Amino acid sequence: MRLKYFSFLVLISFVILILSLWHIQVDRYDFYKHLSDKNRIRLVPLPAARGSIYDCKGRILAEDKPLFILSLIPDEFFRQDSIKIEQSLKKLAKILNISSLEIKQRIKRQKNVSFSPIIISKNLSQNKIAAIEERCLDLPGVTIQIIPQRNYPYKEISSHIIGYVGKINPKEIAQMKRYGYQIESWIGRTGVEKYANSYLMGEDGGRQIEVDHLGRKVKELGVKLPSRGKDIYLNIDIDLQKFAHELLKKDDLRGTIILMQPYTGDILTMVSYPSFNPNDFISGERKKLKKILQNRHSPLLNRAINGLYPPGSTFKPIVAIAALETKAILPVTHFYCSGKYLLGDRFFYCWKKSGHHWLDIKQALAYSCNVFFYKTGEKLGVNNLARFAKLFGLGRKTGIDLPTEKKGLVPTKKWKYLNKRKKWYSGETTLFSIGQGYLLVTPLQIARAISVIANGGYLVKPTIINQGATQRRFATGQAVNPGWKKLDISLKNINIVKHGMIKAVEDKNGTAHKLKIDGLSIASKTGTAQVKGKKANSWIIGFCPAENPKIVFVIFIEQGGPSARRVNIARKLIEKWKELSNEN
Amino acid sequence: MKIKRSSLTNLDISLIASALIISFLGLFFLKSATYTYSTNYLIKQIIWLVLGVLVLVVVFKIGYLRLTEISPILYIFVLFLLILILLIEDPKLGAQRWFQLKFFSFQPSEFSKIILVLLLSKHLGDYSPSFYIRTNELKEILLCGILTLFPMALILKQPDLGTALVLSFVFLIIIYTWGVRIKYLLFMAIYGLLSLPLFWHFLREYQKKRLLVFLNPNLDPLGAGYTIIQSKIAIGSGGLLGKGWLAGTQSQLNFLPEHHTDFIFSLIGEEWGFLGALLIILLYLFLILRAIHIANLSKKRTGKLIATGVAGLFFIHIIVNIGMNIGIMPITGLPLPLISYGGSSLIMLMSSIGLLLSINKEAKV
Repeated sequence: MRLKYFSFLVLISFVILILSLWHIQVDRYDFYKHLSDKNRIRLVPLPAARGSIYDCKGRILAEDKPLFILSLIPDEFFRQDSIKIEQSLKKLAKILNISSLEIKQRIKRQKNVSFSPIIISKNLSQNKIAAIEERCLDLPGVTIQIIPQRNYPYKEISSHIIGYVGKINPKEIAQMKRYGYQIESWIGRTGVEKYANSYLMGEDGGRQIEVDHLGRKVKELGVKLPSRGKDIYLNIDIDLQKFAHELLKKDDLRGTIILMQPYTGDILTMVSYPSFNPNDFISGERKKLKKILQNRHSPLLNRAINGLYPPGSTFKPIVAIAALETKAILPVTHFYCSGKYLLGDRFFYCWKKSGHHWLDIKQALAYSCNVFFYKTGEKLGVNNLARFAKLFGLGRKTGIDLPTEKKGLVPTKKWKYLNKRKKWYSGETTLFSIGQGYLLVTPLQIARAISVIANGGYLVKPTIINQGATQRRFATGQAVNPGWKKLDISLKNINIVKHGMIKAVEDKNGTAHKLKIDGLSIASKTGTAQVKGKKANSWIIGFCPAENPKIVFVIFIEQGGPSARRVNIARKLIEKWKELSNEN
Repeated sequence: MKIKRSSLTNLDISLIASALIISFLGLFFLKSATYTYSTNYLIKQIIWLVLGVLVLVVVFKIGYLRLTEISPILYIFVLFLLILILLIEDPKLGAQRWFQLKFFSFQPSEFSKIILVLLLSKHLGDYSPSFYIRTNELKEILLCGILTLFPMALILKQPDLGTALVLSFVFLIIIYTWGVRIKYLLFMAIYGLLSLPLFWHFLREYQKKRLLVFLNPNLDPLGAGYTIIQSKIAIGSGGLLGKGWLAGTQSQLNFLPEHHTDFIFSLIGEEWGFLGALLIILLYLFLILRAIHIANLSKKRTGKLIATGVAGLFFIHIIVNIGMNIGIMPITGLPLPLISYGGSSLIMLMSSIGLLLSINKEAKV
């Protein structure tokens, strides 16, 4: 019984198939016949433009510009007889200034579906466009298309933040490509371009049109309009960014400069030098790319978030807070510095050979006395040092809205046992307390840690993208002004350290005295971090105005030698910042 | 002599003939679809066809009952292969459906179709949905449902939506023939419909796109919509008599992607016209009705279920494939039985014809 019903279902379905087939092949034969031989069908891809990227004042940092390309539709082109094909090829070759053999090779390389256009030449000049349009009727199947192309007007100035886009790998789209034709598309490879790729990217469209033998449109068979990607606003001020870039470039200093608002985590400037020109990745010129990739100073590296360095003396403010919080020392505690410190059978030296004599915590910070901190670190112990380093956000990612951030390393006894299979030596605690040894940080982590002192105890999340100006829809899981995490540190102790850092600038013996600018109180700390076998790295960090901080600055110079020599960079930077903020 | 004659009369000659005629015509279509760029496809398909006939004979000689007995082992083996394929294939290189061996590729999901038919038939063949065990009915079909879900989930992961739908159809047609109460079938249909939005959620982006494009080809004129429009132009321009063998402009000029596999029917329609396409459809219809006839003849419940399952396999492939070629079904990527290029599918279908012959022989004795 049931089998009979099944047979019935089979019969009905087959009848429907046959009737539909009849409808297409017999009823609508003329329509399809017409489509199939009298006319040609043309695929016109309509690639979507990517969203632009702006700085905090609305200046364009990345945008899609129209690019004129010459393309050829093989089906229409090769329907001519062979003599005419040769003639057309010669004409094209003459206009484009390349050999007709070269054109043939380009066609062969890209052949896909017979009526999807093949790109013959990119970036046509105005007169070439005119020349081709004139001879349009003699050149069947040849069209001029406009496609968007990424452009970075500020070139190498902000390339690490913005990143660049690259062509999608054919393997990456193999799954979707099984039916039909795919437009060549671009995706973000690094920086904001990568981090916010899905937001910036538009949706490609296309048009399937019917054309007559002269290439004139007869009818549109189907269309999907492209939709442009969305724009993004950054916290970056490109003027400051440019100035900071010039500061490093002028003396060819490898390193990074970060300016950040201590209360919000907004990054005003993040420069890494050496840099690269992201436009080289768009044009894809082998020679230029090779130069970037083979440069031994790795210009692609964003030293602010991907470089790991020992923090040196810039770690001392954190040690000072740790010591005051755990009551390892008191504000009135004085230690004697004789220029060296004996631990076991080994001497550890202060940078000042003659010693600093008696000093308290504020003076120790202002003069950056090593012996004071050796003794403080001994009282604190490695566990407390590691605990406070982690509390200030070292050893983990800051969560900045850029891809591939490094997390650094805060050593502990357990870490050393697991990785080196050795026990922790007390000499390593001594080194740890002046930011040397195993401790590794990114310059951005230091900027964030110093913000804690600047803003009175809040650990902010640094942000490049301005969430308010950019639409809220771009959800990074962060509200515009989240309640930052208040660290469990007393304001009194923070102020003691802050005064130590102010003293470093105000006191004429302070390590950052050259930074003194009239009418502006600045808190600062310098650092000269030893690296085995190389010249020391120099750090200048701090914030201003000291009482109500507006910016935190971190300047890091790879192999820059004694930091005192680099203080003038910070000075120029702050003067420029002041000048720009007065303008507004 | 006498024995031989009787074994010949027990053979369903018309069934073999229709299957072989379809496969043989398939070679002509394949030649037309591929001769402009490679003869490899045709040669390989001929080898597959010869192997397929050998497999048919072997399956017939072993007999369907013995194969049914070992179906649990086959089932576990095919599950193992389906898991293996997900583990070893590089997801970057597209759908993970094939084992790429040195000289040929092998697609375990094809074999899972016929093995599922055998396994479900074995299980339900042991019970009758008679009055006494009505209470157990729900338990039995639930078990069958779970047995179907394992390979289905693995195949969906590949992702191969079409084959997964075939498996669910096999399940439905077998429990229906077994005699499950219509009430349960209706329940399943309703739950199936209700879970559709959930199912939608699990689809890949491109699969969603293809389904939407089916509703409106203009949504994606360069992708799946392109294929639908091109396929319709090819078939429609064939007219009543067709443009002639090797003379289809749409297919020959490579306007149509996949015209040697999933879209080979559009080539048939273009070059052989309505009459040619009708011939193929009628041959298929004959084959399916013949399989249902064998199901009717069989006295054993297992045999009945297997024969119906095979008929269902052919039916769903043909309807979905031809349907998508003429634009009345969404693009799901199912081959046209015995004609589309592909060894795994051909061998699987030939072995299912072998099963039908074996059921028929037993019914006649």
